[in-house]
Amino acid sequence: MPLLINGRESVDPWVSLNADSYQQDARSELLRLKLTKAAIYPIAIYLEHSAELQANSQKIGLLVTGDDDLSQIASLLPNVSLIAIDFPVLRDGRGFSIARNITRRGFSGEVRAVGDVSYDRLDNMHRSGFNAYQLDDQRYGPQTLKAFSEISVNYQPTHPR
Amino acid sequence: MYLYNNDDQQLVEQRVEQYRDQTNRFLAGTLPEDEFLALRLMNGLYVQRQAPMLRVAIPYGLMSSKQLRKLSDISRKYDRNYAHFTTRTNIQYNWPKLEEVPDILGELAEVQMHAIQTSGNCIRNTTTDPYAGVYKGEVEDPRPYCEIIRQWSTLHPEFAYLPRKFKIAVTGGPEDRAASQVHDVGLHLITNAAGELGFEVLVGGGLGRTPIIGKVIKEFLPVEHLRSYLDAILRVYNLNGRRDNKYKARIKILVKALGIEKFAELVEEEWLGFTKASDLHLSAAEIEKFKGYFADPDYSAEAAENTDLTAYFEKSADFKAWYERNTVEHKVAGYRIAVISLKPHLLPPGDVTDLQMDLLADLADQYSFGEIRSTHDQNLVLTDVQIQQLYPLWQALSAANLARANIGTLTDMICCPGYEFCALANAETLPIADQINRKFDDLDYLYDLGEIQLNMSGCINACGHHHVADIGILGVDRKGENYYQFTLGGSSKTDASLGKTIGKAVAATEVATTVEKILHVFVQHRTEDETFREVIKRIGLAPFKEYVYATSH
Repeated sequence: MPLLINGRESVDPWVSLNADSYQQDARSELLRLKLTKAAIYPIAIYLEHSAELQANSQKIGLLVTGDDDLSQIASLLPNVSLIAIDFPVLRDGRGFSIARNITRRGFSGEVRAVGDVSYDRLDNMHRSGFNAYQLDDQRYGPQTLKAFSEISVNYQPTHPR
Repeated sequence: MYLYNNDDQQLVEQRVEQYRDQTNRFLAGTLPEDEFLALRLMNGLYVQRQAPMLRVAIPYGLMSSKQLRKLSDISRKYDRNYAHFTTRTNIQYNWPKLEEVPDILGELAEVQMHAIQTSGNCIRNTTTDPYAGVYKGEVEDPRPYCEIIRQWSTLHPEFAYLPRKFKIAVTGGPEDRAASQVHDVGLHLITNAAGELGFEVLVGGGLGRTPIIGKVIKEFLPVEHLRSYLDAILRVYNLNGRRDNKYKARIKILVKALGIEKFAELVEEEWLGFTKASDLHLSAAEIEKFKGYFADPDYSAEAAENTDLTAYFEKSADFKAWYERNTVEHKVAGYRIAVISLKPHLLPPGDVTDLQMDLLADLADQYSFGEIRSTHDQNLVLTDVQIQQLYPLWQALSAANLARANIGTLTDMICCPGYEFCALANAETLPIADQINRKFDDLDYLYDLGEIQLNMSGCINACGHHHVADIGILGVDRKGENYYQFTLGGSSKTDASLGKTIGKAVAATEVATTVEKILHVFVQHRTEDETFREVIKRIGLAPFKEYVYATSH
């Protein structure tokens, strides 16, 4: 799955928690993640095991969805290096505001769009505060970067990342 | 009016090419249909029963003669020589070809127009009082603030995929000619005790399946905070509005579920915490800059010297009737506001032909500083006509079937296009509008009835604003037959209220006679000078129900 970071195709150093594996055997899945250098946990799971995970010397990323309670995120930001924001379907635009909510608090790590990420929304994502995009193989190609320059003038400030 | 600078122009031109690319990818099969659907809607393109429909934005209803000529040209070149004005003060074409839409947008861009956000789950065209800037009783011209909202909301990256559509209306004072209380956000320019200018802010109004009158969220918002406060409202809505059911996704449902106090608290937290002191704050210089685009035109001082129309009135009783019904007092002596009725006899309300558009553009140039406005009740307005020029203006309008003196009367109805033109509609509206027009063609009778708003929608989505009319008519479908349900006592004006249903729906053939019965009860009960609305307030709906549904008369 191609990953664009700051406009470049990049190798993903992050490992994400597998929800199915976690459901079947939470301990093993947590252990698998804890042994990596950088792991992305769904926010609820991270909060459940925060003491244990904070003691672990790895980079922490959080997966946030529109249904999560955003009031909890602010206090977690200093401890994390990546926020992955889920776009469950094309019409669900909560992720744009979640990104804005996080970046304006001064979060300087990676803000990554995951889920239904497609060409025609990349620039909206960029301008809302994202700097990384996980795209399906069939939605990625040499033309993809053009999405960021289709419209080069804006009435709203873009929040450079 | 606001004129594009290089950046504005570049934005619409790039938007045309972006949309052209989206259309090409869709036609080539590389952009899935469901994705293209969302993208084309955000650019005003629906696919209706018979053909696509393209809705073009007219920001706060203000256009230049040059723009109107272009709209006319487009109707000739790409459509069937006519177009239709909507309750969002936009204009729509009923027969464009999907593959030609990028070319139409290209032509629109040449005259600083576009179709951006005329549909879809985003911030739609902001509407305002059609008399903005020229009305005597206004607190302040709302147009500079409308333009500020237009710029802030255009291609806003964060608010393009809202739970549902979002509509904002602004009034220049306490008189409401923009239906602001049935908008997602209504803004009323007011002054506080210290004489400072601000907005009373309403939120959570709307029509459709769940009609609600907006509630006050802020009693006085200084104008400098307009943008930052709207931004806070939109963010709270985007994050918290329902996504699981599109019929419950409008902000009105969120406000109702949370309660206005809780919703206001969330907005306040967002506003004070982040947006208020951000670059969304409007400096005095920035506000002045926007005001500068809407400075008064060069009014003639001589116009006030002769305002006597007696000779013309003697010459033509029709002109006198038109003057009385269709013109409004202007803030500058010697001028009047002229309302052009798009509700001719037996033709679709809000429709205008290419030739009429060309003529109106010429008349705007000749009599009204080259500008023309569209209204939320689907008429047009020339705001700055010298009183002595009203007669030749009327003559020219009359010759083009544009001078029906019915503004504010029963036949000045708001009406959606109905089943024939809209894929959502359940019932026909245009033949019913004709039926009503046939029955009530006597202008003297209409004048005697006084101000009556009749609105009609072909389905529950209420594009014809039937809930907020003195007489509202909603078309419903029952096993393939059209029936029409009546509501009475609604208003979209300052005393906004929702009409109440009077009983079971009537057959299509019975609509005009039902209107007649309703009017009969009104005439029976009214005292001198009492309006329809006042009678309803005084006697309630019972006498109407009784008479309309009585078994025989």
